[in-house]
Amino acid sequence: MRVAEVQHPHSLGRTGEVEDAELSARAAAGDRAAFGRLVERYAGQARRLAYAMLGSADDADDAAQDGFLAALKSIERYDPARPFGPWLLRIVANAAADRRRRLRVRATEVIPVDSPTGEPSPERVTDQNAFRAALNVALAKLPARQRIAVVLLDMEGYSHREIAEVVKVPEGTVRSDVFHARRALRDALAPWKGALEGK
Amino acid sequence: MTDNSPFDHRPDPELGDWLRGALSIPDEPAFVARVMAQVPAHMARENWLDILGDWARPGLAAAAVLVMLAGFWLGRIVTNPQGDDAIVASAGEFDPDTLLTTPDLPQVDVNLVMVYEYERQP
Repeated sequence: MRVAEVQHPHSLGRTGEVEDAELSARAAAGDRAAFGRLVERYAGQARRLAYAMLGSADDADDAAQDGFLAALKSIERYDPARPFGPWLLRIVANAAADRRRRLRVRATEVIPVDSPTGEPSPERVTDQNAFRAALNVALAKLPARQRIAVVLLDMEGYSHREIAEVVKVPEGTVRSDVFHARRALRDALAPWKGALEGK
Repeated sequence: MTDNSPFDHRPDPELGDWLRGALSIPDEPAFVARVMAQVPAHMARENWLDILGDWARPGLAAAAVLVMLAGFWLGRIVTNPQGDDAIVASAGEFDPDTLLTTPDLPQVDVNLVMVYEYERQP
């Protein structure tokens, strides 16, 4: 097992959370700039999560924006004793789920993906876009909860407990979701892995 | 990737990098500007209590003025419903004998006018 210590942006210590609580309190009191700081801080995470759920950058931006505005409306309900990130990302995930439902009504496709839907050929392994396409396809095949779990754990560095707050399931279920999602992604990306390591 | 185990609590940095590469959407400042464009310039809390609070002061002032006007008007009617001359004129139609013989109780203002007239007589 390769152990790598990675410092994720959101886990740089408690200072960020204290600041989040202060910013959210100021935003609740009508401080527009404070809310702007929160948007800047969480825009990347919100957009990536929404992208993972929707498979389209445009829809992801719409959903992330809906999520931020919904969070602003209910910011007085945020408990500053708890981390802001999971609270916000839960709202964003709900906004993305709403948008996905609407998209499903409009079109019967399961999840639209920006990239080609076919399995990219391993011969195109040097093409990073093709690899991204393969990853997007593999992600799109995952159940939504597994997708959220693996993205928030491996990409954003949230803990299982925090992810459990986002998706409102027991922590053990999150562990199981991450396990299954990683295995599915590993299987899907296996043809690429050796070639990428050889680069 | 790290070895996959449900008991592994650590993020997988390699998978994380891949996911970040696949899911990152460019032009974050434009997105932030887009969101902030939807946020009203004045975000001051406006719940129903605040709105009622805003209305309270002028509402109370208007109610006070109305109460004063109504009180003044009612006061004038109660203290002087028709004016002295009208009362005297109407009282002149009554004969004291009629008052004694009628089965109905005399009205208070008629009695008062009679007393008033009696006092005015030289």
